[in-house]
Amino acid sequence: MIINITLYHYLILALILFAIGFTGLVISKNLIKALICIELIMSAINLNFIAFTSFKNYIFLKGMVFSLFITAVSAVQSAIGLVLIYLIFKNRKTLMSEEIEELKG
Amino acid sequence: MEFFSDNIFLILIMPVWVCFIIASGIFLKLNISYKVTLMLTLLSSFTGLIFSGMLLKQNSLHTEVIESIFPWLSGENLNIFLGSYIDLTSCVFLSILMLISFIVQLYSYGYMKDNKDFNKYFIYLNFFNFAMTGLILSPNLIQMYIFWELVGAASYILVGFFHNDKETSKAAKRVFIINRIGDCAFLAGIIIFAYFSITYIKQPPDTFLAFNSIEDFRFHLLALTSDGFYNLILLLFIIAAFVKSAQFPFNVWLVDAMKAPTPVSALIHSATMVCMGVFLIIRIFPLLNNTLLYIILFAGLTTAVLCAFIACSRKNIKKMLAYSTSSQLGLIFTALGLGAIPAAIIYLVIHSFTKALLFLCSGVISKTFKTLDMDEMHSLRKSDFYLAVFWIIAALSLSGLFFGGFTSKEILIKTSSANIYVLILIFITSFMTAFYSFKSYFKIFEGEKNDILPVKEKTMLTALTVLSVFVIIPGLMFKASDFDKYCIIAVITGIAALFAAYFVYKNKKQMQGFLYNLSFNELYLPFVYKKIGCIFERVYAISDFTDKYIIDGFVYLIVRINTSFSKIISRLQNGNIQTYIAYSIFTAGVIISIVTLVYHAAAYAKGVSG
Repeated sequence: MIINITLYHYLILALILFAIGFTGLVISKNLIKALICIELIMSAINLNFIAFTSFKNYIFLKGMVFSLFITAVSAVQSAIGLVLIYLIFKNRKTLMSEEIEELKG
Repeated sequence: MEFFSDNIFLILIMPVWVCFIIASGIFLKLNISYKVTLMLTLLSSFTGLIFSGMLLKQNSLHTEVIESIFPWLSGENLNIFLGSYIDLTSCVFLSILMLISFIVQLYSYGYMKDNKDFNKYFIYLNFFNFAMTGLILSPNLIQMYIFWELVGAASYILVGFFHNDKETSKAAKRVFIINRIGDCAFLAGIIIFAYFSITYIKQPPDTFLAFNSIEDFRFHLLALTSDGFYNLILLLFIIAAFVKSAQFPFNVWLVDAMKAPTPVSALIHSATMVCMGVFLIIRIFPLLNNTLLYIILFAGLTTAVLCAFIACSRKNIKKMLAYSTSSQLGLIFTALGLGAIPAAIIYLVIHSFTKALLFLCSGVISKTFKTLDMDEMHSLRKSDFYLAVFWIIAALSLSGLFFGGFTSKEILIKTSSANIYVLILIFITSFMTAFYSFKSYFKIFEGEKNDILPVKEKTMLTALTVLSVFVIIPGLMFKASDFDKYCIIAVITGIAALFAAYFVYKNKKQMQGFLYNLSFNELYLPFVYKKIGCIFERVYAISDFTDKYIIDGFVYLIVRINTSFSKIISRLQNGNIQTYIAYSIFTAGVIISIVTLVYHAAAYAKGVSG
């Protein structure tokens, strides 16, 4: 059985990826897990860009360029995120997000 | 001569300048020396003295009204002007003010030298001078009202000058609150006047409530209202005058005002401020009719007799002088009620000097004995002869036996000789006046012992000397040809009172009887006031309840609702980052779906209509 892969398959895959990432971001107690889930969300967005580029606007490859940028930015972002998490761990000796809740009304 | 009337605002402004100089010295912690403060203050009142003296001389030669006004508030049919209005009355009052201010300021240096609030005290004195000058120069009722209030405030500040003492601050409050009755009456009168003036009369705007056209006002007002209502309006002004001049039954504040430093009592509560009631009556005199004059006459005589009666049994020297002031002002109001303005003014001038002299003497006496109770004083004459002389001069003048007081009493008696009942009451008053003034002399100055250390202060002695000269000089104006039978009766009354006082002093018997109790308990007036106060306390309790539980309760209800609501809301902000992320993404989702929905709905609607 040959399945003709259309744009919607990509979009649904990206949606699933995003949903997994979002859910993980919200419910995971470990901050490193949350960081990984952010990466998932990023790749979902990347996938969206690439899908739209190849199916809709493949002449100028604008979306492809964007996906390159996003990859670069997400690398930087995860680096900074790791640093922050390291500092939090150094100060608090914990990575559990429930224990870092001083900023509240 | 033009110079003085053109630059009259200088004497209004100078005390303010001095105030600012001393006050900035205090703020910048410059430690201005007391002598500099005294010199600046004396400079300002001396300038005022020269100005008022020159204007008085000019005005007594040929009477004219010099008015200079400028607009303050301008409206469609209401223009309020400020400015100055100089006629003989204001010249006389200004001269008294400046002269007594000068003397009292000189005296205050000796009296307050040891007080660390010396500079503050002089700021207040200058403020009082400013307010009084503005009041006396006011060309219309509005400016008069403004400065009337300022004078009341100055009096309040100076009465409460030793405010560390709880009794003093209470007394100052009482003085202020009782004065408010008069102020409210004054304001109500002005508002009713203004109502008629704006609504019906359509006067030229620059004469709004002005003294130069006050006769026209009577004519207009009587055409519009009934006699009764007219009397009622003017009664408000008369009440204001009575409160300021401490007439019965408002005389209680003057006794409370005796908590002030003694020079202040001499300046404000005997010589200048309490005379402003008389000044107001003189200003609105053209508006008064016979009924109102009878009211003034009646109130004046009542006060004169009752307050003199109370003063007879006072043990506190300043309280005795306070009641005496009320009583003498009652006599001045009697003269006004008889329509004799010149007699009233002459009596007032001489009484101001006399009473200021008595108060200044009592300041020295209280410094010597360190008490105000006359029972604890004795035989001061042996150690301080000059003071005894001053007191005798003042007592003779106050009781109308000699010096200035004699002249003024004769004029008053001549004015009232047509009415035998008034005359009898005046004789009774002068008998009691002579009685208490000589009784106090015997009590303070006579005695066997000789162990008192007198207070010798150069400035105080100078002030007393200058003032006693001003008490003596008017006595020289009396001509022997004016002597008639009533004058002889008055003199005999006074001498009889003198002997009565000596008799009472010699016997040293504790007085008894109904009359003495009545006098000693101040006619049970404080008791009556306390009862009235209790009634008001009930009213206040109701309004206090309303304020506490209804008005405040409503506000607190709103606060409660808000607080509990925001407590629920603030639970959303729990500090967990992931919750915030969830909120933000959820919100973004909601916004995006709404936008999408609206977009599609619009597109659909376009498709249907297109």
